[in-house]
Amino acid sequence: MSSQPITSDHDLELLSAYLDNELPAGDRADLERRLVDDEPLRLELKKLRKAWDLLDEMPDTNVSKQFATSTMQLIAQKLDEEVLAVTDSQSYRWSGRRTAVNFVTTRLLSRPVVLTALVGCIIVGLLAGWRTRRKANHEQLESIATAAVLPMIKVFPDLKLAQPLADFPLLVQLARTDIVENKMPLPPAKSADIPQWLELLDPSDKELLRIRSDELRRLETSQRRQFVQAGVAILSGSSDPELIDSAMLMSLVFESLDADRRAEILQLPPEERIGEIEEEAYRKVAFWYAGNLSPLDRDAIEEWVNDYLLPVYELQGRGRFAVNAVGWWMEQISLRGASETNLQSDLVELLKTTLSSQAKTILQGISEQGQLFVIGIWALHVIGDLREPSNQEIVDSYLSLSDDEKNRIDLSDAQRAGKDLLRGPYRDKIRQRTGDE
Amino acid sequence: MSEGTNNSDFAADPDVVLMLKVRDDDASAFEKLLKRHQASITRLMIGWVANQQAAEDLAQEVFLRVYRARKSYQPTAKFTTWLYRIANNVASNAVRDKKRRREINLGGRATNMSTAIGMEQLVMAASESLPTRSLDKSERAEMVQQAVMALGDNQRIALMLSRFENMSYQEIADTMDLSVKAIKSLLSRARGNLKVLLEPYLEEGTPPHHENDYDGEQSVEAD
Repeated sequence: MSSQPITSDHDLELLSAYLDNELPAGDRADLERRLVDDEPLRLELKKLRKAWDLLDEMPDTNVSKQFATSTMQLIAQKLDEEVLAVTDSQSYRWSGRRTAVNFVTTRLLSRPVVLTALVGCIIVGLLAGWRTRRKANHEQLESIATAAVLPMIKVFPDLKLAQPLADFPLLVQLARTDIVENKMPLPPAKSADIPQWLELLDPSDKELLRIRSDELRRLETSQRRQFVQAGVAILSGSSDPELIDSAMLMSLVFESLDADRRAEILQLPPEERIGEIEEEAYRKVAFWYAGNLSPLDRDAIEEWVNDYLLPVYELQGRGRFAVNAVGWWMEQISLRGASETNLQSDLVELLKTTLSSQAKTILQGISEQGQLFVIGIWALHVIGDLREPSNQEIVDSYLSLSDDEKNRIDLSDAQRAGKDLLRGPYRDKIRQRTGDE
Repeated sequence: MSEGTNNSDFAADPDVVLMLKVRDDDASAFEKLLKRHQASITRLMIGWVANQQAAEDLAQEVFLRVYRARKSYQPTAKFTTWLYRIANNVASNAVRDKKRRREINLGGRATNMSTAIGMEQLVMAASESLPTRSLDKSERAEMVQQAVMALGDNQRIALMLSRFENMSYQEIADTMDLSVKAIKSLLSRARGNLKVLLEPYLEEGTPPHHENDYDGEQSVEAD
């Protein structure tokens, strides 16, 4: 036997493709003609095939019987941890608020800054908090993975990008998908090494970055906020390599933008008009629905929880929405008066004894936040067509109401509830916190 | 990626149907997908780490990433192409991290040193210690496993996808984000290396060579 190659690389490729049945018909016929007269080539083909056949000897793959179950449990546990990490935080429940406040306070504690920067940070924090308050619940929940790492935030001074990105969010999914699907080399740990890393990228990777830049430019403003904020969260101290990968890529994308594009992202052009229309639509549609829903009796609710909610809750994300719907229904019951108080307390008791800690935590959180408008829409869709509506659908559903239907909406209730939202403890806490600094 | 494809091209793929349900948070669909692919993903991972438990851990990580990425899933390719891309990424990252740690311990050797050493050792073993007795099944399995592990990462992954997942060159190219030409080259080199590494064992347990064996070759390939 000999370990020396007796065939050229070209012949080896031909033989290999022949064995894989990947040779074009013409090449295959040519090779078969050669094989008839060329004994060394024929022997080489035989050895290649036998070596390949030996792969059948590799150990069988016997996945443990518990693999599927344990994997499902692992995923459920991870999701549970993410949710609890968010809801366990004390004062600053939503990612936008916490990011802004944490960055403001952390920086102020770690380094002196000029007064103007202080004022700017406070304003940004207040604005971010207020704007996030108005953000749809489903958007907030979708960013739970990002929010989960926020408590770990610490300033990472080597990452200069963390400075301009400090007060805004990021669309983690974009970068994560790129890293996962395109097998890019791992980005460096320090921004100073980025130029060197760029040299390692294939042209296709560089092209991808360029495409991503274009996509980023086209993102809606709210997405851009998410994009930058999560980037900051991750850049600032997450120990999760996957998240760091994402953040580093996103920071590269950001760096690759020209100055105008960066400014566009950081300045976040105002969308007051869009926001107002959307918020009003949420309020009006929610109350319109509330006025048209017939009250459920105790048995019906209990039956619904047992037969529908709990099985649906097993579906993780969808289950969250179902729980939210119950939270909304409880709010509605409480608004309807004392006559149904027992129904509410009974339902609460039922939920306490039947739902997981995760569900209860979410339920409590919703009750505290009082964001019944959006949850009302969820309830409708969860009960109805099992689908989470987009913001656009909410707005469209309002626009589709007849004038008569619009007139039946109790705007005074909606406005009062809206003011209560803005008058909640959050604003006081922000003021107190920033005042303390 | 193949040209001229669109989402509807994959609408009939049962895996795509399931994954679209997973995207809508259908956990039972995810469990079905998990069960459909758990063996193949674990086998792929064994090709990277040669250890059942470690392979299952990596496979779990793959499915976790699939679940986390569900909201961004778009059926622009066969589901398995997307799945194996994730799997490759998880595995290569894990192996790369392990190599980095090893390099630090060794004082910064070249990146592919461990693979090169493995290949050299196996070639030496192949050329200097011919088997003096028939290997039993488990020994043969270990020997083949070592040979596969001695291949370069890309050669090994192309081999696994071709041999065990029955993927075409185009499908492997899509999965590995390489050209078909590159896959053709990778697989031919993988074959050549395997032949060298396993040469002492090629005749063992196989029928004696006949001059007309070529005819049999054709019939196999015609299948």
